[in-house]
Parts: sequence; structure tokens; C-alpha cells
Amino acid sequence: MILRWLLPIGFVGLLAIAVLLAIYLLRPQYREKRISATVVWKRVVSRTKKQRLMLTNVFIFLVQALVLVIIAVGFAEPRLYSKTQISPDSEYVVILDSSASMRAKSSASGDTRFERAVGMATDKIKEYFSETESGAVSVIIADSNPSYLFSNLKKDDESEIYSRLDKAECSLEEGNLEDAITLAGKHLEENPYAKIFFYTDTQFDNLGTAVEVINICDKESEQNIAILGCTVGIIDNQYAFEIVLGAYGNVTRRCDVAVDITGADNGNGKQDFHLEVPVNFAVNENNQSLEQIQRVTVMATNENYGGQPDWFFDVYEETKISISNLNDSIPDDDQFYVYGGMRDTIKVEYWSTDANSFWQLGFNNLAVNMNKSRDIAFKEIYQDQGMVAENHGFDFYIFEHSVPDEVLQEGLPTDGIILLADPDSTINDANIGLSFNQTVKIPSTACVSGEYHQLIQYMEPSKIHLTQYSKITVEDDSFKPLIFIDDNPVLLVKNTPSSKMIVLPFSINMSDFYGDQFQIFLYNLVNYFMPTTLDKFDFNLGEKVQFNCKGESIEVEHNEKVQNFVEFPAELTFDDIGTYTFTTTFGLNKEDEVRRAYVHVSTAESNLFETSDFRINLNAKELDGESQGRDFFIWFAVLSLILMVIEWYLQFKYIL
Amino acid sequence: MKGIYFTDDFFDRLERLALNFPTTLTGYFGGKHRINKYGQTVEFADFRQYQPGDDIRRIDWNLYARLGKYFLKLYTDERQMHIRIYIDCSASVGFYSDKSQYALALAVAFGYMAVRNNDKVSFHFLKDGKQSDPFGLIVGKNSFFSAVGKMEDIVFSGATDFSAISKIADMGSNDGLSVLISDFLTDNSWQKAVDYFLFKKQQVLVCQVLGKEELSPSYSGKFDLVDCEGIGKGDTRNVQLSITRAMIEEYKKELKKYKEEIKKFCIACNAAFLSVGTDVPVDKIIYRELMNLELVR
Repeated sequence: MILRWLLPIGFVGLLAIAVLLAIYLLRPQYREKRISATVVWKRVVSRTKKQRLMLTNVFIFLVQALVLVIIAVGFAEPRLYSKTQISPDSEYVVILDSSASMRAKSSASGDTRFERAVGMATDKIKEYFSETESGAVSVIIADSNPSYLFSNLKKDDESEIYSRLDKAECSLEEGNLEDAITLAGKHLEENPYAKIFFYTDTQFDNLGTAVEVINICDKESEQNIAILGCTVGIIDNQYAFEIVLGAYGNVTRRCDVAVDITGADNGNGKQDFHLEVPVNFAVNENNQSLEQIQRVTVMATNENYGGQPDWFFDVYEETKISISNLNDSIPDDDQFYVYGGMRDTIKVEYWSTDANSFWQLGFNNLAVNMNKSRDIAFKEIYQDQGMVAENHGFDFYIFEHSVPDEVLQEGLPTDGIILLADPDSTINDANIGLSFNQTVKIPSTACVSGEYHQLIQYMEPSKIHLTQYSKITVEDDSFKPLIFIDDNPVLLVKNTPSSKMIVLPFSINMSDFYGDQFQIFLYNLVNYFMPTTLDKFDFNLGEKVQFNCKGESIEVEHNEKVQNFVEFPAELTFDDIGTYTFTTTFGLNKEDEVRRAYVHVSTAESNLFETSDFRINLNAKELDGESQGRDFFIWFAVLSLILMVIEWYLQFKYIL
Repeated sequence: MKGIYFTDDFFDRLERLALNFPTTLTGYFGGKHRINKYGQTVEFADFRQYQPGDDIRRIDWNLYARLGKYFLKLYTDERQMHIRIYIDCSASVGFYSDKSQYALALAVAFGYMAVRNNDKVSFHFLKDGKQSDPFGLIVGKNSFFSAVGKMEDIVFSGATDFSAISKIADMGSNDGLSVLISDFLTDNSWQKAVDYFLFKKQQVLVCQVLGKEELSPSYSGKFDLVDCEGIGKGDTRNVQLSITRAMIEEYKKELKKYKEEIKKFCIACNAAFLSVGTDVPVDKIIYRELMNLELVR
């Protein structure tokens, strides 16, 4: 049998015994010496020990602090960076700003910013591939939703790269440049050698060393005058169009604003108008990138309308606003459409055998509250004054106590919402699906809420106290009771395509309903049955809009493309510029309502020389491996361990 | 011991010296030290008006003849003092023979100066918390030299302990000088002894005697230093240290500081302090240091 050692080098460890012996041999040897007295020596030792102890304490503190610092630095993964340059065989990421402002055309070269950007990017990629064989290129199109035109294509796909770049188009949307930079930054996480080239017309400050921003603006040859918006109001009983104009760059001092009003109707026929107003901008010629906003008010007056007499009109079909400017870099923002004229008006007819002012006051308050969105036309009809009620042409019909005979004879209105307030038994003849029985008088009692309904949202039925109400027998299941008193319904609603009705079988005079609860009820009433289709009528491209319906469905049409909506509130994203037509179909015997909205290029994109305050630090890394970093961690750990042993030794020797 | 210090020449030089005591001491009748009270000597001091009861033999009749009033003639008074010499006979003083001889020489010098001036002398030897007075009260040179001859038999051993001083029952008051001779290299409270002397209204001299090795240690290296008064190894007074040149400097600084502390204490309680090294001859100490302290004239 032969004894073999697999790792004889392990015996080197026995040298430790020699080290141990050396330590023992070199250990201090103290000789005994008798002296007359040790008092003075003890005082010397005591004093030096005190001094040493103080120094030791300071040293121990320093060691402890050093241990903490080393542990902290160790966990921060210290790494040594070599000073090598970024390898040419790395990766190029190209971001092409594809926002609408990139469509600006230079009057000198005749090409757009986007075309220039594509050309420069193509040259950069060609130069890159002439130097590298293994490098990869990715191109990100920075529109409203940044995405790759292609990703990680190599030299073998060069023709494919150029072909795709040729086909790249600039969007009309607002560019989400921040997301595009963030998307490019992900390449840096995977490949620290990646280099990002950002072709844009927006000025960025300090995106990091890895990002090279190439601003492709041609300030000398680019200018833009844009219509940023238009609001319609009434001045001196006439329509007035307040147009907001923005001028950017080395603009021409003058432009003409044309306003074409189509289908203006004053009740005696329709007429078209063409108004033209010259606008002058106070441009400082020394400042080539001037930004100026100017508001211009245009009215159809003698002065503006060729000296003809003023022509008053109630409604118009369409108003086109355009500007003519020969050297405009972005033509897409040179026109604007305004539709519809006045705000929506809700028409209310109120008839009562014993009129009170609560309803008119309530609707007047509501009109004040909704002043910015629509108007309310309230018409009161009193039976005792011989006025005749109408059964068509209104959005709401309020019949209090009874229904006028002429209405009963012709039948209840079918083109609006009927509200029966404190109805008596004479209404039973109308066969509406409810029977009104006797009036019940009770001590003041609070109401109780039924199941949730939009009509009673924000209301607190317990704050409504009644002393009198009519008992109702419900024969039509489409009536939903919403509020009760003693298990008898005191607020019912019916909302079917052919019939919309609200019933309040109690007298407002015999309750404390009038007040905040009544005002909330009217607000809910209008918003439930007659919600605003659109809150505004001009939108930026790419904007998402939420809209409601007064009837059963809405048909949205744009460039012969039609979309139908039946569930509301509905959402729509405007993905093209131009006019969108919203046609509301009522279930009632009522004409369809048409509303139009104009979608234009984002006003922010009209600014040719925008500056972004977006900050991100995308820095090129110069480390070619992580192993060094990990090794350092071990060394730091060993160092801290040694220091901790020293600290323990000091504590043991001098303190314990 | 005789061969080193107690020579005829040594005593001849001391013949010319006398101890100087403050006049506030009272002492004993019949000495040579003038005090601040009137007495029976022949040296005129002052006049005083006669008062009934005064000895009429002391009336100055010449002055009466000129002035017609009675005046007494007053004379100075001279007293005998008692010099008590306390010698630390512990092992630390006897560790170096030159140091113990030096201490005894100083004691004998004080004693001789006293007996030469008709003063009384007593030697008290201290060790291990006890004191011995083998020679009793010495008056006159014969008794003195007899006592000095027996000093060869004194053994220096045991621990330093001054507590016995306060137990001496027949210590007089306001009657002379107490000299405490020791190396004071001890933790034992020698201050109590000094306080006791002061309580007894004694003139006090604290005399520290240090050997050459104690003033400047000549040894260096790593040592277990064993105190000679201890029990040997394991004694708490022992100290282990590495003695370097720097440490010896530290030792000297500390010793100087220690002497300063003793001196400071003595000044505070109006006692005289003298620290001497055995490298300085006893004569020089007596002629220079004691004269500077005005203890000798």
C-alpha cells in the first residue's frame, strides 16, 4: 500500500507552526529586578497608561468608523474603470423625432426637418457600418407612442435599414420624446457601449454622455404662423371670433386672416360671409427665433364686410379660419374650423294650474351654474292667464298639479322629457301607466332613499320632509321608484327610448324640498337626460375625448369612416386632423342632433423652437467586466474583518 | 560607617555651626537660644514702669534719680531646645548602603549641632509602624558620641510606616525642631506625621534622601521591577515594564513632579523641605542648603 497525498501543497500550512514558535520565542522576556521602591515607576506607568488609553480610545473610534466606512463602500460595489474608449463595435441607437413640428420645411433647402434627420441618420449609420462588422443599429420613431422602426439590425441588413428609413414618415402628432429617450436608455442597460443619437428640433440640456443630441433646426430659413385656437362670443349682439395666432421664428411681419362663415341664418335665409383681416406682428429682426402670441377679434361689421350693412344672424353652419403666409414652414396649422355657433340651449316649458316661482327660480340658478357650458330657456304658461301650452319643441315639459286639456287632447309630448309635479287624478286619463289616488296628509315625515340612481346622486332624501303626497298605483313596470315615504313612492323615473318621464307626487309647497336638495335634483335631471355631448369643439390630434349622449346612440363620422356608440360615457381618440361629426339619435320623436368637432395639429407643435426641461443621465460606461468589482467586495470584507480584529484586540488589552 | 562620615574633620566643621530656631519657641530653661520673652540673662532689653508686686531689686535706681519714677530693667531670655530626629529605617532606605549612611550622617550632623549648643537631642528610628528611641534624651557630647557609636547596629528593614509618630506620647509642644529623614518613596501617608509635628507647634524639617540609582536609574530593558519592601513576586507594588531611554526621562520627570508635590505640601504648612541626593556631599548640604533654609547659622 502506498500512501499518496492528493494535495501535498496543503502541508505548506504547517509553516504556521514555525510562525507560532517564532512568536513564542520572540515574545518579550522580562527579567526580575529588585529596586528600593517602585512608587515612582508606578506613577510613570499610570500616567503613560492614561495617555495611551486616551489615544487608544481615539484609535478604537477611528477603527470603528473605518470599519463602517469600508462596509458601506464595500456594499456600494467599488469598481475600477479602465480608460478605454467606447468600442466602435458596440451599438448605435438612433431616435428620430417624429412630432408634427418636424414637418417644418426649410425655405432654403426645401426639405423638412424630418427628411433632414433621416438623411443625417442614414449617413451616420453608413459611416458606422464602414468601421464595424459586428455593430448593431436600432431606430426609434419618437411620435406620440414611441416605437422601433427596427431593432438591432446589423451590417448584413444594411439595405433593409436604408429601405425602412426611406419609408419612415413624420407624424402629425405631438412627440413623446421623453418616452423615446427612456426606451433608448434600455439599450444602455444591456450594452454599456451603446451610443444614442437623437435627431430632434427640441432643445435638450444634459441628457448624459451617452446621448448625442443633433438639433436639426434651420433657424435662418424656418418660420411659422399658426392658428392656435378660436373662441366664439357675442359683442354688441353680433358674433365675434377671437382668433389666437402664434408666430415663431424669423416670421414675415404681416399675414392675412380669412374668416369664411358658411350658412349664416337670420331667419330670412342663409348667407355666406368672407371676412379678411390683415395682422401685423411686431417682429424683432435681430431675434431670429421670436415667439409671439397675438389675439385677433373678427366681426361681421361694415368695416370688415366690404362696407355692406351689418348682418345679424342667429346660427351658422361652419366657419373656416385660414391664414395666408407664403413662406410658412408648417402649413398644417394654417386653418381652423368653428362649428355650431352658440352654446346648447335647453328649452323648458312649465305649465301649472296654480303656478309657483320655485321652478323658474330653480332653473335660473341652474342656468347661472351652467353658464359656461349651455343656456336654459324657461317658458312659463299659466292656465288662468289664457296661455296655451305646446306639446312639441321643448326638451323638458313640466306639468304641475294637472295636464292642460289641449295637451291631453293631442296626447302628451313625445319629443321631450315630461315631469309631472304633484299630479292629481285628472292625469289618469292620459294612461301613462300610473294611477293617482287620493291625497294623503301626514305629519312632517322624512323621505327614504331607494336604490342608487344617477337622478338622485348627491341628494339626501332624509333631508326632504313631506306633509302631503298622492298615493300612486304603478301599472307600468318601466317606472322606477327612487324615493319613498311610508313605503309609497314619491319620486319615480321612466327612461325608455320612446318615453322619458319623471313623477313627483307631492306638492313642493307642502314640503321642504325647495332648497339645496331641489337644486341638486334639477342638476341631476338635466345631466341625466340632456348631458353635453362634447365639452369643447376643437381638439389636438391624438387627444382622447370622453363624450355623452342625450339620446340612444351617437354616430361619429370622419373622412367617410363611421363609428357607432351606444354605451355612454364613451371614449374616442382623435387620430387624424379634420372635422369629426357627432350625430345623436334620440329615441323620442325628435330630430337628430348634429355636433361637429375640429381636430388640428397640437398647438405645442406649432412652436418651431421648443425647449424641453426633461432631464435624464444616460452615461456611457467604460468598464469591460464586473469581475473586478466583485473581487473588491471580498477585499473590502477582509480589510474590515482585520480592522475588527484590531479593534477587538485594543478593546481587550486596554479596556477589559 | 564611621570611616565614611563620622570623622574628626566632619565634627570639626560642624563646630562652627549652630541651629537657628524661631524666637516664638519656648524651649526649656538654660539654653543658648534667644526667644522673644524677657528673662534673667545679663543682656539688657528694655525698660518697664514698676507695678506693685514686681521685684524691687530690678528697679533702675539711676533712672529714678533722674526722673523720680520707678522703672524696671528687662533682660532677654535664652532657652534650651529639643531636636527630635526621626529616621526612616525601612528596607528602601537601607537598600543602597550609601543612602542609609547619608541619612544617618544628616541625623548625626543635626544632633551634633544641637548638643554643641547645649540643646537636647533624641533619635527616633521608624520601621513597620513602630518607632524606637534606643539612646533616650541626649544632652552633652559624651552621651551623643556614645549614641553615635551604637548607630552601626541599626538595621534597615521592613516597610516604611510613619504612623508611629503620632503615637509618641511624650512629645513636647513648642519646644524645638523635628527632623523627618526618609526617601518618601512610599504610598504611606507621611503627611499625617508632618501634621502632627505642626499640631505640637514644632519647627519642622522634611528631609528626603535619594540614592543615585533612584535619581537616575542606570538599568534599561524589560524588567519585572520588584519593590524591596514587598513580599517578592506577586506583590501589588511590583511593576512590569520595558525601560527605555524615553521611559527613564519620564521617570525623572515624574520624580521631579513627586518632589514638587512634597515641597508644595511643606510650603503650605510652613515646614521646611530639603531633598538631597547621595551624590552631593553632606557638608555641602549643611553649608549650602540648610543655610539657605535659614535652619543653620
